[in-house]
Amino acid sequence: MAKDSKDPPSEMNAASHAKHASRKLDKSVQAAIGARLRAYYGGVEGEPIPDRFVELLNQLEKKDGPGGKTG
Amino acid sequence: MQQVSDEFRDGLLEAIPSLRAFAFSLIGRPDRADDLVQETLTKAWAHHDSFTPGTKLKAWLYTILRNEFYSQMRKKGREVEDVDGAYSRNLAVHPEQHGRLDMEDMNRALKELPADQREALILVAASGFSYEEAAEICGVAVGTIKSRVNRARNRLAEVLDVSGETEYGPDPTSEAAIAHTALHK
Repeated sequence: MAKDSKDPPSEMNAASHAKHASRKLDKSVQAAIGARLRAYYGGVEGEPIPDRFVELLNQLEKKDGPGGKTG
Repeated sequence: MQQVSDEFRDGLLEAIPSLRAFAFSLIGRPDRADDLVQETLTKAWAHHDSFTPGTKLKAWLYTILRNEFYSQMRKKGREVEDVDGAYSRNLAVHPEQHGRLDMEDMNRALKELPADQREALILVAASGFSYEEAAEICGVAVGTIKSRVNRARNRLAEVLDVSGETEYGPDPTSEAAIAHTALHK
């Protein structure tokens, strides 16, 4: 994505864009965005933990555990 | 090296769902997101000595995930791109959740944001971190986070066509729910 090169993340921009950027959103708009973001995020958070991660932790534990020290 | 405590291990396990959500919202693809989580957990395990007990494990893990994400991006020399529709094929959303279309809309909208604004917005508005915690995770000043979140919200409002003037956005049902929430604020 070329967006970043066009619009450097430098905060010095913040001042020049302040008028636009700090335009205060209506409370209901803020709430709407927040609710949609949390629904999106919560959708993933609500999924059961995939087995691969439990296996990973077991593996790391084994490698690390008594008798299995790898240093 | 000290052995990893059960408490630490349980903490990692507990954090996995949020780490997956964070990774997914940064990348937009579940397969890559889970790879990133795997790398995060492996790193966290290897560096468990540098975690200060009593501080927030979740914030520590988010910091690792975030650093890992950017170092991968740098290595690839480009932002992790999305193959159109790849996430929707792989994504397993619970049917009782808002559904696939809303997920896709949000995914697309988040892609419209510069990476620094996107992560700030997610940390504060979705992950539930305070501005101060988000600032620490991103290694910037609190004011910087506030400004990024503000800009991200404005941009998202445009992209998602959420505005204060219109009664109905793209989805009347969620709009109604939102209006309800707003009333009780």
